[in-house]
Amino acid sequence: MSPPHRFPVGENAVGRYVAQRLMLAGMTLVIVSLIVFTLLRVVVPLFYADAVDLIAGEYGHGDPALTKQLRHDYGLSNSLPSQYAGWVGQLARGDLGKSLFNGRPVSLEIKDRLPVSFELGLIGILSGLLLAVPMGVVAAVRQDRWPDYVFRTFAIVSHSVPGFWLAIVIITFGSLWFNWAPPLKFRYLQQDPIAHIKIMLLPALLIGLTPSAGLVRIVRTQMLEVLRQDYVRTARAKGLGNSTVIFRHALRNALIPVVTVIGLSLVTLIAGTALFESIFSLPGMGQYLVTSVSKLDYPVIMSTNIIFALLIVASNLAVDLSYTVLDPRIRY
Amino acid sequence: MAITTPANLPGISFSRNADRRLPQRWLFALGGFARHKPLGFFGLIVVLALIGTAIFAPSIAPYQPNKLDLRHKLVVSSARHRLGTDKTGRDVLSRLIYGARVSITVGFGAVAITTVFASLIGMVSGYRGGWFDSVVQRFVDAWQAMPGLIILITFLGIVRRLPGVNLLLAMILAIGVLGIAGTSRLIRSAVLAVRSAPFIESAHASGAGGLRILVYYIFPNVFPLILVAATLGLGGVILAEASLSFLGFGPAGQPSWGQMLSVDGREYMRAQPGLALWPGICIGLAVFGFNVFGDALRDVIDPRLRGSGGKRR
Amino acid sequence: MADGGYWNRSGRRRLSRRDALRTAAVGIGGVAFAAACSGSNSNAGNNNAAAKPASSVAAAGGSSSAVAGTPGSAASAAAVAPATKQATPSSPLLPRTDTSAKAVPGSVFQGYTTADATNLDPLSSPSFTANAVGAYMYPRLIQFKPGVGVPAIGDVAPGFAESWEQPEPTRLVLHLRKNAIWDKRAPTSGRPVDADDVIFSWNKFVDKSVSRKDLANSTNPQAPIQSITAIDKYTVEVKAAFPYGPLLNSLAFGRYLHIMPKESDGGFDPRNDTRGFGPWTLSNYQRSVKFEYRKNPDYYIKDRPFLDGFDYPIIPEYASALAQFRAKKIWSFGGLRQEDVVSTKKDLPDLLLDQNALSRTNWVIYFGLQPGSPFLDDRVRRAVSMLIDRDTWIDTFYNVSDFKKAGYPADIVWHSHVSSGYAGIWTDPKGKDLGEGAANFAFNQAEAKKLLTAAGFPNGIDTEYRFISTGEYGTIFPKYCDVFKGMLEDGGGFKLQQINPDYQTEYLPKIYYGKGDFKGIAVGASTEYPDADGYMFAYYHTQGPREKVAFMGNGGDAKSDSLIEAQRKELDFNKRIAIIKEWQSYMATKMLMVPFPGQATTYSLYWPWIGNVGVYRAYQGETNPDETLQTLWFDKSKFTG
Repeated sequence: MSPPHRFPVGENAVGRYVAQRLMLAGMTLVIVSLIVFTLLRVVVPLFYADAVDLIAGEYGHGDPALTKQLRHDYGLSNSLPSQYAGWVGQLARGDLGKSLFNGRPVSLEIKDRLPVSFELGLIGILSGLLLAVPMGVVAAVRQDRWPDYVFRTFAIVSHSVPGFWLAIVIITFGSLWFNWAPPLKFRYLQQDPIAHIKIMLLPALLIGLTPSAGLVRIVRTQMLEVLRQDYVRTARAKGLGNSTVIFRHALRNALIPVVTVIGLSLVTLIAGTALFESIFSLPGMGQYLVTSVSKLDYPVIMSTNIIFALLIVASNLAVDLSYTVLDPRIRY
Repeated sequence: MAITTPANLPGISFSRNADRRLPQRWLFALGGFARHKPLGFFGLIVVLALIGTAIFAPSIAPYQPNKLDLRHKLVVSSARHRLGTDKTGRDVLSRLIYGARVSITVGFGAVAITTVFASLIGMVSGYRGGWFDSVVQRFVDAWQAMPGLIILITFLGIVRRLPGVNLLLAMILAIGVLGIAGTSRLIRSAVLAVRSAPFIESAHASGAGGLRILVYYIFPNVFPLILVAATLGLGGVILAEASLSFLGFGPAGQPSWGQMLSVDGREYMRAQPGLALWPGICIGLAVFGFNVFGDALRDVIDPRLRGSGGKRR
Repeated sequence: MADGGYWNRSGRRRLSRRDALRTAAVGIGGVAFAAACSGSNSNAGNNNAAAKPASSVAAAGGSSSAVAGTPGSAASAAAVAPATKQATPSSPLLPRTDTSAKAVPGSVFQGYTTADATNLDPLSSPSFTANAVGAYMYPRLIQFKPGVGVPAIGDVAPGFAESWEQPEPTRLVLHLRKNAIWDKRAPTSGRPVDADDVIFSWNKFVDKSVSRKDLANSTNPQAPIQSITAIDKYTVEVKAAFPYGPLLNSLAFGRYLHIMPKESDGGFDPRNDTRGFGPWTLSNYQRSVKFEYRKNPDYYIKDRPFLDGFDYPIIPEYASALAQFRAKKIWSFGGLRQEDVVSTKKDLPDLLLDQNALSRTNWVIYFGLQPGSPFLDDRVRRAVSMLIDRDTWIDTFYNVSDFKKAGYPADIVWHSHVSSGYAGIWTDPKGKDLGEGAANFAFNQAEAKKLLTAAGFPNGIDTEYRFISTGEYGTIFPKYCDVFKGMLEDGGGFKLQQINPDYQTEYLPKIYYGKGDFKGIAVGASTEYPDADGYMFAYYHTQGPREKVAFMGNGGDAKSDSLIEAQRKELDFNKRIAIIKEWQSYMATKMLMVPFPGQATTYSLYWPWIGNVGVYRAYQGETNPDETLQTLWFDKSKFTG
């Protein structure tokens, strides 16, 4: 994670800071786009197969007229730099391209799929938080006593167990022992909210398990640190009750870095839902990418990567900026 | 970050002035480690066992990992096959033992790439400072913003179609390179903390060059941190390898835990639950071992770092 | 075939040769249905392969087929050898009585499929997944006739054409139905389906279909159909380039000529949307989520289908699909692993047990035949075949011993160079009909060793061994190959260096279509055809649609070529069978490639409230047979879900 950069206080300091972050974000996108472009439009045609061969399939193989036509249609007869420029221009206009195999616009697919992945990641991290914060707080308050050990062990173990493995084990043995099966038919939130939540809950919980481990540790450490601070001691000295001190004063401050971690790991989580999407047959982004990669549907692959990079960049930006709001100690 | 005087840390010492009776010192340190950090010590044992298994796989494994035993297929457990067999009668225990090789190779390979380049970048960037540091850090920012698993899936999905590509090597390279940015930042901040320490200044005063200072003064001081970062990174890499193999991006022909889980475990676990359970447990145990060992190591080296989120940084 | 006779069938062999052959294939049959209820069932993860030689082994159906469409074949192949079976399992097979008379219309069938379709256009998609989907909306001119209570044998029945006549061997005149109308939504807007659509579809097939070389003479001089032209609005004429026995079968085959509307060229995008006139309409399709089909109220057969529709959520994960099946959320499970049949039936005794039809696919082990290759020597190839322990291989992949232990009948049949699924055509390598070549099929390590020694390889051969491991042929294919490798290495001292080439760039151009110009041994797949001729011609004839296939090496084999040509132009059924059998005997002696070992009885399970399940049995396994799905109904009285 990138630490917030500090700049001298000045009239335009915030403005300059934002401008700098935006420039950085732009640079990130350019680098990602260059990598993806090089892989798919330079390396693949050079060592593997031209996109044209893939579209033409077997029936069009070795048919020069068809190949030429396709090459023209897909803008592949231009030079590489102009292809890249064309692609970036397309992206700038909000055109993410079309699938090679069914001609469906990528933007349409993403419109349906991104919310699913986003929601999975969000519910995942929220449930992780719901699990981690009480554990972390109790572990800190009861430092070096059994709740501390139990919750820390939980954190380490859940950090080590692969979530996708747990998912398969749960499905198989849940079915074998209880004839239980996860909800079958996917429903979008707007179609049927209750059914939707039932479907998303288990995968989201499993997704949230891994980050919850890290969160328990962060909450615990922060609580320990905050509890030692002067203002907490003052509050105690004033005669405030223990729970008031913990919840009013300590927890609030301890959660600041937690917010950062959440902001930063959310996109990583969204990107990591691919495994769960295929196990629970959820129509998210990860599954889209995996199937597209297996078919080498390059417009889809390129656009999906750019979308994820954009998300990460945006969330980093948001975290950086929100940090200044949340933590009054940071000034520009 | 206070790593200026590592000599007085409890239990273990990485001081570059360690005296000559190294074996005794190490044994002593190890004993202290076991006493103060029992869980971490357990992690160390798991890690060593894993490495030993990987190295001596051919002598430990009861069978060749790809040896078929068609008359004993999908055995759950028997005297012949302790952990049972898979669909074509291959011995699960032997495959797990050989699978440790893939995990260890990918783990250490990727972490070696990450560590070497992250150290170089972090140390030089942190020590030089100025415009050089600014430029490098902007690249690191961009690098860190790349969607990890997405890039890995894209990269491996494409690379595995190219002729003559060693998929294991590609996996090591990709995972390793992806981790450089984050680790380099960690090391850089440690270097920044050390840079203005008195003993560096005195080295400057005595006329030592930049390279000399980096190698003889800064490196020994950030080395413990590098070691911790590497150990904690290993668990993550092993998990990443398992996930990628599970998605089918692993190399064929040699057994790996993720692949055992995805190819055999997923489809035949009803007939032979061990096909899914054992590889999962091995992955979990290995990751657990590296994590608790790394945690303990960090606590010992710098207690202040305790609990700060591990490899997420 | 009498009900309840299933367990009493296949034991007493040695009746007549033909009966015995048929026995293997009869009484088995549901998988076609399983496929119907599960989309592309056995091909998980295969939807990306462009025109792949398709895969369907354990659960690809079809049934005992004679060369269909030929008078007399139906009766002869449908006859079942009466026999007694040794063991009786605790539960009987599902009843095979036609209950259409008491069928109650309505309700939505719950099935599933493992993979999404590449796109929805069966006439231009690079993948067969589009044919599986298209079959429900876009009928063919002729359809295969399902067997009722008995396996289908490849007879044909009216499709969009209600009748036809063949005034001369190369001319077929088809009379189209006048009551068929297209989807009522724009742009087809409920207009009548007519000859123009047929011509449009044929032209598109010739231009774009991956199967065009199988059928269209203009793309391959050896393909049978020269032209299809309209005589009037409701009559079309098919002109064959030469007299062709299986002409009707070809028109009925689910991967060939679907009738699509003219409007699909510009009026709507057939890759993402459908406007059909079949029994079903695709009412709701969400990419990688689900297919939902609903009954077409304007379907040209009035009281079909019985069901209001069927839902196919896409469930790629085996564990999930099985969990759903056990929880009664899906009603039939075509992809059920044979390893799980016995335990699932034991856990849930209400499930109906059904024996599947034998598969008509036959995959091969083939050889690099570069100059100097050891495999140019007949003796080496024959030795390879003898080193394969067919019974053990089949036991491994068809769960034979577990079925026997549980008291389920499980018969092993070996493939010759024709799949054992082609009952009546196939010659049993275990019998005497195959002649001297039969010895090459028997597991005989000592003889193999002798042959290798005589050929100058007393210590086996060090060479390369190639197969696809990336899922294009399914997840189990690499395991087949592992076992072959083990058998050659253990028994013959072979040292095989395993190479897993990339499917598109290495395997297809250099190995599969490499005309034998590679080193060592390779393992490959083939697809299903409407008739044995399609298979033989495509893979073994030098001028076939897959003329570049490496199975026979560069020059092919003149005698094999001439036999294949002779049988396909022979219109007399019995004479044709004789030629095909001669070809098998010849191939057995030469072993230019080694066919896959064979197959054994496989089973499916269904929930009992599916009316007519297992009764109407489709001829085609690999492509979704809409012919049987429209006969299913929902039996509420048995519903416990």
